[in-house]
Amino acid sequence: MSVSLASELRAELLAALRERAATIATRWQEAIALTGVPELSDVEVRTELQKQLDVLIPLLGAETDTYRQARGIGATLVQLRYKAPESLAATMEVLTDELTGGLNTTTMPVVMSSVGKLMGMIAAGFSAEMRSAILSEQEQIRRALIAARQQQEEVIQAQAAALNELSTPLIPVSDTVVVMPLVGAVDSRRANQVMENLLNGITERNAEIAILDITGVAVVDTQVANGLIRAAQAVNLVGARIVLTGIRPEVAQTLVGLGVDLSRIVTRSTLQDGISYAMGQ
Amino acid sequence: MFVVGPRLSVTKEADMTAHKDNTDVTDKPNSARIYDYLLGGHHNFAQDRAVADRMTAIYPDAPLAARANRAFLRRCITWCVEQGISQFLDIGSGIPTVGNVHVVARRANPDARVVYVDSDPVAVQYSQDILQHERTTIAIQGDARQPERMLHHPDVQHALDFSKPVAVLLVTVLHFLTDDAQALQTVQTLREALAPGSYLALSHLTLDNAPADVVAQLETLYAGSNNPLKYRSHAAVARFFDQLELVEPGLVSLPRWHPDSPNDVFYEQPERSLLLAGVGKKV
Repeated sequence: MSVSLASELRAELLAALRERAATIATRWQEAIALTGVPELSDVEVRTELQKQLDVLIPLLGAETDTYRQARGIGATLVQLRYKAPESLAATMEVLTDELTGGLNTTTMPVVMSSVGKLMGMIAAGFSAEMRSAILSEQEQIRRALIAARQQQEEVIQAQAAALNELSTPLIPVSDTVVVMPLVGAVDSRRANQVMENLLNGITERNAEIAILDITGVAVVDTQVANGLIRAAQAVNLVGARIVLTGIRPEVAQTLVGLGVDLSRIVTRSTLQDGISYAMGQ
Repeated sequence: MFVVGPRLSVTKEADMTAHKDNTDVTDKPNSARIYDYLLGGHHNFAQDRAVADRMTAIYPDAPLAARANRAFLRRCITWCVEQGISQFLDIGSGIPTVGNVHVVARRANPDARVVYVDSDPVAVQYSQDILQHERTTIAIQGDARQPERMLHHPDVQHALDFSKPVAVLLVTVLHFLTDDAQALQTVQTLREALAPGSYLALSHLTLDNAPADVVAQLETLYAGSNNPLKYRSHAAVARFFDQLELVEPGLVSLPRWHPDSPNDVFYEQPERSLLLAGVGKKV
């Protein structure tokens, strides 16, 4: 078949298809309707599909190297949220049928191979767009997951910090005196917190005397005692003094029994005594 | 008494309590991500897909029902905008790629304001990520079981003006509130917070017309799940509209609520959606 005949036939075919474009768009939309979740209404989807037909139909009469443009049709399907394999299958079925529907035995061989190539491009475009959609959606959800985990951790840390503050409260009783009443068990971690909060509080408030009240500390062992001594030494280093109060008789006995030397720390039996001592300084 | 050290802000404290119920954000299947998967999205994890696949094996219409539900949401928003509504509170919004209330609302009214609320921290983080450049749409974490907390959230108070009409969307949410009294209380609290002229829209799972074997199998599936679910009869769902004026066509099978066209999903067999839908107006 001569080139001129082929192009004549194509021109005729293109004109016929252009006239049918609205009908094809409707049929196409109905075919894919149940395969996707579009954001647009049916009518809007048809308008979008018709725009795609405006690209596709002229390609039938164009050079093969321009067929790549048909990839955009496959990509558009995905963007319109027709993302199922059935969306592509229905599209190719309707379009092949429509593009070849008006052909006879003479025209069929001329157009058929073009249609095949164009369908291949549509499928390639669909597949490429799907791949990037899947990758970016998976990435997005994983990013959200990580952010959610981080946020949870932050909340847990904030809760832990709040608990820490509650467990080592520092109460100012005058411009130069602060009191830290300790209640409950003291382990090495909490002893470190005591030291840290004590030093921060003293520095922040320019306190001269810090009263550490251990009335509420159930068990005082070597570890606790050493922690208290270290705290006292550190407090001395920042230019303040520590007064240890609330040493109950059994605690005093334990400390003596353990051989803990508290001689360099001012001690008072009750918090009240400690405060009046501190105020008198 | 003065406690040395930075105090936690009120918001932080509120957040801390809100997070208590969500200590595990990943290992459990989550309804927002299951819904996304049913709609063909990829914002989901293997455990979500496994549950969705089991659900679909029992109830093969599940993906279509999810689509029908999503289409209802779209119709409902468009309808609300037509009634002059420009503020939306979408409770149980999930992952907004599949809801996209703000996109639909904005198309109808560019000034529309939308607040998304979800209890799943991942869904909220995701929403905040895609909404980071939005000025009139926000996403917060909240629980439908604690409507006051949600209503008084500073960001919600800032985004929505409750002295003017608001559309509250409870789309496929209330069936996760298995306690009837609590579900009714949630609706009542929301209703009381709304100005006259506001709307409350909901869709809800019902097995009124479901085949007996599907009912039995779904019950078994959900009995062993972390997200128990309660289907309700038409009469029970109608109670959510107490003291509201149900708009036409009333509480109906979801595909029949202001359908776009006879081509809509399940238009011919609306009961296959297993969903009821209705919109009530506060007068």
